[in-house]
Amino acid sequence: MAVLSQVQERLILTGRERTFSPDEIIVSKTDTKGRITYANRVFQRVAGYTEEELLGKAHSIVRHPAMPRCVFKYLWDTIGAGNEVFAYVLNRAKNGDHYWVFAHVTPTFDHEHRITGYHSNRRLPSASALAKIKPIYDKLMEVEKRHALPRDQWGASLPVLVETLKKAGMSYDEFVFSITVPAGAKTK
Amino acid sequence: MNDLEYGARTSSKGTEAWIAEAVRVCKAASEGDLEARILHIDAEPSLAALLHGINHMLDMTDAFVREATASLEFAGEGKFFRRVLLEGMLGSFRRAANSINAATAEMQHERGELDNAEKRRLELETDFNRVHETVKSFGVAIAKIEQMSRAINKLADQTSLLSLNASIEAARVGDAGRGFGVVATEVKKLATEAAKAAVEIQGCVKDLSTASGVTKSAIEQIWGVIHSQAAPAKK
Repeated sequence: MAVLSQVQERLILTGRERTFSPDEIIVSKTDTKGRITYANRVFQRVAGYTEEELLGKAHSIVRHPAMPRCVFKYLWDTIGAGNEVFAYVLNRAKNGDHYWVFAHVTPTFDHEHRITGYHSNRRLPSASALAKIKPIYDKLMEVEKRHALPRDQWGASLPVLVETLKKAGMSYDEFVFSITVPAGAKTK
Repeated sequence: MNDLEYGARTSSKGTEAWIAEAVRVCKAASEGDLEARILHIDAEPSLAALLHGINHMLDMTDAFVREATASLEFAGEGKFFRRVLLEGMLGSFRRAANSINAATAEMQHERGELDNAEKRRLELETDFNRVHETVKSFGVAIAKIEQMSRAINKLADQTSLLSLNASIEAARVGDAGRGFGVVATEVKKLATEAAKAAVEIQGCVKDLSTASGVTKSAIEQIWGVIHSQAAPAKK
């Protein structure tokens, strides 16, 4: 019974959007395997989980089924190589609501520059950025739908993402920043 | 344990233990370790608020440090698009973030100016290369003209000799050759004119050669200056 309700919890989508203040940051820390070691109170409130429910769980606990897998593939590859990464991510709250975040994930290093874990700061994305990223994600999801296995899914959609960036003539970082900070408008 | 079942709020730690935990995290933070946080906070409300406040303060400091570091690291690599995100940054954090962004924008502007200067220098270098090649080709053309003027001179000498022989032959045949003698004299006059022109050409060629030499060394000097200005703009 408990298992069934857990499965249902994972599958339900309410279609309701949640949001948070532009002055707030959703913060989480994970170990090198992506298991949550810290979740701030904004995270707990927006995702609808208690600290106890989050600690020790894989970060994919807030994964939304409408998120292209290749974005996470790129994200993990990038931070695993010791670099920061930005991503617009659609997350799923415990009750099936959804919320968009602009995630900044960075590795945490020890004194010998070994990765000891990851840190994620998630901010409220602008409507204009989402308007630009949603059609790209839709295209990637379209590609992923043709495959059954996650590996095949990102395997097929990652080249599409790369091609899209190539057409825009920008690196992934540059692209994300170009839709995030509209030409220095936010420097003041 | 029974307290929990009855719904009463019980802290997993005593006040002293919570404060010790807070001191441990604050000490780590003051030593630059921004990873530590206080977990499983279930202390009584006012103490819990203090512990959450410490976590929040650390979250904000951690976010600022990560942002500032990333932005400056990127700028150091010449990637200026990576600005410090201002969302969630308040007060002094926001002011500092703004300062970093302004500095990055200034660096980007200066890099742009340097790149432009280098582009203009390269254009100038290309142009001067072309001029240099042209001036070098002058020497060849001048040598050719000189050669040709010498040939004209030789031709004039031979023509002059030929007209002299023609005059002698004309004199030998007497009256019948008079008309021919006049033609021979005119031919000699032309040969003399041609020889004079050839000498003039040679004088001009000498002047031209001197002028071309001066131009060539001047251009080489300027080219050397342009070339020596390479490098500082580009790594």
